[in-house]
Amino acid sequence: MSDDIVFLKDVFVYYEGISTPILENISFSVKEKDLIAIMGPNGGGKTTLLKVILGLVKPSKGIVEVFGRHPEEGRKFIGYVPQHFSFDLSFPISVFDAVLMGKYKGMFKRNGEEDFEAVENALKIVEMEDFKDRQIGKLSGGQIQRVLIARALVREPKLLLLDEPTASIDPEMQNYLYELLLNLRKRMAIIIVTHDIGAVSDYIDKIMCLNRRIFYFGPLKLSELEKTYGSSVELVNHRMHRCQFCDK
Amino acid sequence: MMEILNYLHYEFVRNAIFASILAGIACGIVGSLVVVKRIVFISGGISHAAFGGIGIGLFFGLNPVITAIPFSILSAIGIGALSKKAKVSEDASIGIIWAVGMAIGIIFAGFTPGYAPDLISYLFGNILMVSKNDIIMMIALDSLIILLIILFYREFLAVCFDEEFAATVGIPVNLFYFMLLCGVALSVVVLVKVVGIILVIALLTIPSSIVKQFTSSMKKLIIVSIFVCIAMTMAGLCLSFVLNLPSGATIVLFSALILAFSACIRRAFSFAP
Repeated sequence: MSDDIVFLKDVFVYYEGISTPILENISFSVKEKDLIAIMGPNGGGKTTLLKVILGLVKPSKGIVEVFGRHPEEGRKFIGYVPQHFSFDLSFPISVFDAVLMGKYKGMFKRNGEEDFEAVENALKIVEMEDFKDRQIGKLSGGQIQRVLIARALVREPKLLLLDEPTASIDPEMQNYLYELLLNLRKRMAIIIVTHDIGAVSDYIDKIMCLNRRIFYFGPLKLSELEKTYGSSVELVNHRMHRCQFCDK
Repeated sequence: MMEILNYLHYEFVRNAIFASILAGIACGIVGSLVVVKRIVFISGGISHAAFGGIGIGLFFGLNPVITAIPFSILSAIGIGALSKKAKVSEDASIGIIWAVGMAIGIIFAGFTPGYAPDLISYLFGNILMVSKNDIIMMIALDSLIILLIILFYREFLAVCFDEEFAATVGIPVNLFYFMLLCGVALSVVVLVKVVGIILVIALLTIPSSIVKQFTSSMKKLIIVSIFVCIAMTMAGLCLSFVLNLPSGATIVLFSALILAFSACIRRAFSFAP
């Protein structure tokens, strides 16, 4: 119990006015340095689950502990890379300043030299240091994704949450991303929501099949994926699954 | 040219110039945030609802601009609360508060005994009637706005850029969102004498929209917007003098023309080699 960095028990999440819960009876735990993939059809609650871990969504029932505390306190150890850009691309902010936001420590606590260095280092890890003064919208989708990862990494998190990081990115970028994740997992636990277990399928410790409930949580097995999606799942040559519920 | 300098002998002209500068400061700071965060519609709601406070002030014989302050802050909080917490859709709640605030103002102003020529100047502005007390109040409000943006620049930037991420790094997002709306409420009060309630929204949006086309730095956006707003206001004022048109409307139309012109320049440059 005590070496669980994330612990959920009997968690239910209802959205306002909807009687069917978006998450039902969720119980699982994550250990240090785990690499976990969460899969499931769209609308199955994967993004909501990440938000519950982050404390952005409060469950209607159940226990959530992150690094042994309330999610709102535990979130300082988490780096979050959201699925869609929740910002406007024409916003006047540079890559450097966007990443620096990850180094926010509190009101009246100014950012210092160590913070600026940390931003430079994070940008180097994702190979975006040459773009640090570029306005955020003047980048390709893959480059923006890397900047968002740098923003999550600059906090030196012990847990990294990625929500569909390879959606709408070209295959070359996807490979680059998976290489990066394999590198990072030496230093932190990683939870990645994805439709594409592609290159990491050999490396993930556990896979969670989520469709409102957890259908399976454990080492990767093809048959369990089929139960979650409710129909046969095809792992094609490039190892992307395809089923009637997903739009890939 | 010398004739224009002669005008400076008149206090009302000097006050009009001070008012332009003070209005520019509020517009540059708050207007930039409003434009990048895309809360122009909400700001329109707050500015029109503030008229309720003006009507109440006229009725009770108090300075309407002073009574507008708590009323417009209440509208800002009301809109913020409705859009974040209640089941009413956000744009419906903005529309409701917008109209209800105005209606309250109209009723109270209607009950006010005697003449109300003031009513027109609050609706459409009258920069040439700005008094010394108005200037002092504008200085006070501007100082508060400047203090807030200096103390909390990073927080406002984060909340305008990416609210969700800001929450995950521990910024109290709702608090700063409300503070931003209150900043709009205060700017409305600063701007009411310059362009009037109806046209406040123009000064909050046009100058920053002009500058935003040419910069990708938030700091530059704010600072240059301040100067652009001051320039537009003074130029519009001179124009209204020369053409004998209402000052507030002239300022707004002139600014809109400059915006259209700047958009053309921007287009032209993007085609340049």
